[in-house]
Amino acid sequence: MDRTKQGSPNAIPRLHKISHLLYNYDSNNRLTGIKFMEQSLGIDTFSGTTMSATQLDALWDKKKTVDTCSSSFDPLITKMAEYDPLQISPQGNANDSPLTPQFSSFIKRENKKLKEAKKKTC
Amino acid sequence: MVLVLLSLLDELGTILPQISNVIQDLKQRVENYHHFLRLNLYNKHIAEDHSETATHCLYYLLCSSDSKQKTSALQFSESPCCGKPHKMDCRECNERSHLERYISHLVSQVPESVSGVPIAVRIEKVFEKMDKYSGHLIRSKLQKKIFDSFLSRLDGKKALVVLDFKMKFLYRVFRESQSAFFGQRGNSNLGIVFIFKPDPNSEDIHIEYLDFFCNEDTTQDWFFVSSALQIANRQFKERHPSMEEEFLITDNGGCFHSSGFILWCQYSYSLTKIKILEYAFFEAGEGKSVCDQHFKRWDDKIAKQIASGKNVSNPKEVSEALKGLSGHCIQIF
Repeated sequence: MDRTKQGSPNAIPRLHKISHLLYNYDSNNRLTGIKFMEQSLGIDTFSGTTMSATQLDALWDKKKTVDTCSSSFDPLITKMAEYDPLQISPQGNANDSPLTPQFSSFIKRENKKLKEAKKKTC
Repeated sequence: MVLVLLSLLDELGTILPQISNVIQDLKQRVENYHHFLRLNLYNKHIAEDHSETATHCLYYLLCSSDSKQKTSALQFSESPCCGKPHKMDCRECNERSHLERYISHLVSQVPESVSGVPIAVRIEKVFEKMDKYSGHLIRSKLQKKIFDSFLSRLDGKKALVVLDFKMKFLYRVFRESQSAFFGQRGNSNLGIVFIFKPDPNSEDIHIEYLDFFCNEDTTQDWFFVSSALQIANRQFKERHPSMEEEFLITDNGGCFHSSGFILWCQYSYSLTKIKILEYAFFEAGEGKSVCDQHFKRWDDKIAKQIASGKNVSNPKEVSEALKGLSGHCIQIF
């Protein structure tokens, strides 16, 4: 992931004005579009522009290829998410044990592997 | 803002000494209006819904300036912004326009021979800033309404998630002064707060805190935020399998209010089995009180650790210091 390439193409019009987003899904939990709303007319009578799922997919592909070297579907992230889930009771547990050095060493190890893989492909 | 206006009025008084009495009265009125802006406008005047007074009606206040001009022409008829009539008037809210008109009239008497930036231009800028501050209060009112609506819609399946970065944290050592702090230095900490109702039939609201403490890479970008949210959502789903949907609240930081994170949110369901339904960007200083309260407790715990003679100089010691915060867990990157 090249974090130096932070600037995004002006993919979403008037992005800086947008204050509320509605994600619409179909019955199969597939995204059908996002409604982008500027701060006007209150929450009962929203009006805004909608982008369809295909438009959003195209933007995301552009984001992956133009803006950043890899995507959020990085295998490292998926592994991290699966790593040793935390146990927090809803009431709150004073003895919650944090994940410490093992976690960072795990990330370092995975980062090394990724770098080596990238070098090989280059 | 108001201090600048008061000093400008003093300047006006020195240029036009014949109106010094009027200036004193004006200064008092400006101070009163300042008091009104700070204390009363948000709390007592702006309604959370439609109001018969145009300057109190949230929908009227939030509509574009073009529509407002149309409305002021037909003040007692139906407003195109909210579709309902505004028959009342508020003297305190109208004080701003009265002040501006009165001061402009006085400024027009200033002779052209006075050098420097015209006083009229500087006064205009002050009123622009006042309008922006009023706009901030109005938007905050709407966001309070949105926050309340999110809370009221919580059931056994929905959760409200608030994300915010803590101010960068510098390691500390017992009996050693803290090194000089600059904004770019220190370690990042992303706080994620889950607010949810585990039992839809109960009124009890539960809160869980998750901190993502970055030890080495302190970049605050959308990639980090999306990765942290993905991990947090997965673990939240494991702890509470009934949770299926989420409302998100963040501020307008570049890492949140960016196309990258907005687009990533659409894949949340496929990655974590939790759908993001709505996403609200809140005004500066609004909506994230839950996170800020948590960060205060965070700081207190660290201070307590230092006071007890221990150091907080690495991630392990940070996590040790934070042990005992109820409903809290820390992950270190």
